[in-house]
Amino acid sequence: MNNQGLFGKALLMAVCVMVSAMAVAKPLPPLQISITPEQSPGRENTLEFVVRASVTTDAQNVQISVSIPKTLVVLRGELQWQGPLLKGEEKLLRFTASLANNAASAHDNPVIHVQAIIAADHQSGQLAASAFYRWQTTTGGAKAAAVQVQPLNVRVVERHGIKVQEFELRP
Amino acid sequence: MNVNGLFFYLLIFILLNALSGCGGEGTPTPAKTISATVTGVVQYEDREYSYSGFTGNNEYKTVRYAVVDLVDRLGNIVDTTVTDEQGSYELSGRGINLYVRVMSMTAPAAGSEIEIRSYSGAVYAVRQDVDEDGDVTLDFNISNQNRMAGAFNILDVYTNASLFVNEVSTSPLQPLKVYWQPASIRYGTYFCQTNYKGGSCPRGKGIYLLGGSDSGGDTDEYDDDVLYHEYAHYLEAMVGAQDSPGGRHYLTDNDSDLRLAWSEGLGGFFPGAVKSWLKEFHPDRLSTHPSNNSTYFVDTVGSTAAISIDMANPSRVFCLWGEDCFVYSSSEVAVAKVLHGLRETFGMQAIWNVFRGYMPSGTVHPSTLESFWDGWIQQRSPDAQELSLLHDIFEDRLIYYQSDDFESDDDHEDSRKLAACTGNCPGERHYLYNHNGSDLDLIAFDAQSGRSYLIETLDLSNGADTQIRILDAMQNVVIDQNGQTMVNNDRPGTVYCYQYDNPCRIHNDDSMLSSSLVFVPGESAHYFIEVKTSPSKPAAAGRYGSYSLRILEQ
Repeated sequence: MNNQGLFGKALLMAVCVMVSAMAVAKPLPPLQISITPEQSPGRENTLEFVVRASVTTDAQNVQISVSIPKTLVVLRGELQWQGPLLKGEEKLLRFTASLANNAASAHDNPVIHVQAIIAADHQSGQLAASAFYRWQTTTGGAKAAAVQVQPLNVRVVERHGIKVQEFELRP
Repeated sequence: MNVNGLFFYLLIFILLNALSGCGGEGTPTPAKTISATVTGVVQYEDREYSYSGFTGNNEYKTVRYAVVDLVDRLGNIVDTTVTDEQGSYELSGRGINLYVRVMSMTAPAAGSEIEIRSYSGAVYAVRQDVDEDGDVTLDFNISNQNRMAGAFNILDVYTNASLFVNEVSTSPLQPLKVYWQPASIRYGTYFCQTNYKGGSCPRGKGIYLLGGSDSGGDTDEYDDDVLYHEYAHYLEAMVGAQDSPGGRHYLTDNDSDLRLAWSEGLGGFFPGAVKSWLKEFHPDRLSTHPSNNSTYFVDTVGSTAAISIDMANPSRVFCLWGEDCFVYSSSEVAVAKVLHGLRETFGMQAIWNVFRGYMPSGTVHPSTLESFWDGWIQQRSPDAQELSLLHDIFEDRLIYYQSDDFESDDDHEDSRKLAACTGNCPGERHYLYNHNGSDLDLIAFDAQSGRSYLIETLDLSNGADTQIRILDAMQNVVIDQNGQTMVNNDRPGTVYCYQYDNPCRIHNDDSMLSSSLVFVPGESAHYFIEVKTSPSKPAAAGRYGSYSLRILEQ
């Protein structure tokens, strides 16, 4: 099983650490969230997950939600929570999920999305953090691209000493 | 076959390949000489966003001022031009297997030279072949299903920003390099200030942007507000007014380093300033849903908003128990709101004049809201009416660059005394502010021999870093009954690094840079507490600031 969720979290942390003192960065929402598989309860195609959410400022109304795709079945655990969180405090949600019977042949890698949000109303906006875990099925469908990309013919040429990466545009 | 024959065949093979465009991929194109005048319009597909994220409404926008080349198969530029404001171009020439390429870079007509490059330093381009002789129409419609459309949105946003700045600035803008790569979150989104190439700034100075990944991840090429935010950092560096230590910062922080709060507040303000201008003069260039206030800052992850906040009217719902956390000069959102207030009242030109004309060279102090205020006062010499308007805007964010109620008492001859209290008393509120120099508050009190008094500054805000001294009637520093010299900078036991700090930071919170003394007088007398900005204040703190003073009889 490919632990892409962990990889994603590690990558994000690496990006944060790499933002050195010489770089001025974009603002961050005052929340963090992650999802990691902690252990297998011994059943095939079944995993126990831990969702960790924390805030960098005391927050009165934090909502945490877990979105489960149809190809997974939740056996037990919490999928949502709402309440106050204090700075430095960590809220944990645990749940156990299993591949649905028809998922293994679905050529699909189900993705579990988690989100923590300090929500306001429509006019007041929102502050949110999200993460995901991509479950690699044994039949392993190809990784879905975040944005579908047209096939492009790409080449690199030079123009007055500057490299130019040319993408062929097809009507 | 002899050696000469072999050489001849080899030469023919090389020439045929060169003429048939072996540099490309796939089946080689047969060589064809074309003579054409090519005209067309270049457009890219933009993504509309609102408070909650991308709306799904997309529309094509013209690509303005982009460099367009007519190129032959050997890479020779046959003709070159720049798209006009309507995205139109015209090229003509003759050559073998001609094609047109549109580069993700502008010519100076855009108001500045902007280049969108990959992390390896290559400028992006899209190309189409010219298949016929004569007058040929070749439009470029770059769909947002093609990740290259993102490069052209970045170009469009920075063209907007450059045109906006050129409305208020007479100085030419420096070239801007932007590094973004689809499906790469290797470097994050930030502005690198120095030319040093390495670490998180592999190409040196420039704006770096997240490009997502094949399996998701944050990508910023359509997050216009994030793009404008980073452009503000580019402006700071360009004018020489960038003093922020950088690093991670959270929107709800209000105990930030004043240099960081200013820099990020400027970045929070700038998108709204540009979009307000666009809304008035070029509404077709906006990417926001019509219901969105221009001052909304939105950063998406996936298709939903991770940050969505009105910088001119931040909601208290983000703060604990409905308190307003977007206050003080140490809050980037408060700084942004102050700047929006100034823009709405006095116009963008006034803000630019102080930013460009005072902050880089008119002061020895780092760029903070304090030095911006100093510059405003020096440049504009505001009359009472303007000063009143200024105070309204700043006080709304609990920022007090003004004399406090007790300023006239700063004289050891004065008879007003602060009484000692017992229990949980709030203290007396003071502002460290004097636009002609450093402020010094002198507060008289009576103390009885043998009693113990806790004298402390508390509830610090706006970057205050206090030092307190206890003076006798001759204005000498007192040594108390326990032999202690009555001077304190930061209260005993102060911890300067919080556990979650990375790296360790000074926090302009209510207590870290406060002061306290336990005073046990050797004789009953009339004493003075002197409070001023600490002479050893860290760069993160301010010259000004607010504090309360309390004498607690123990």
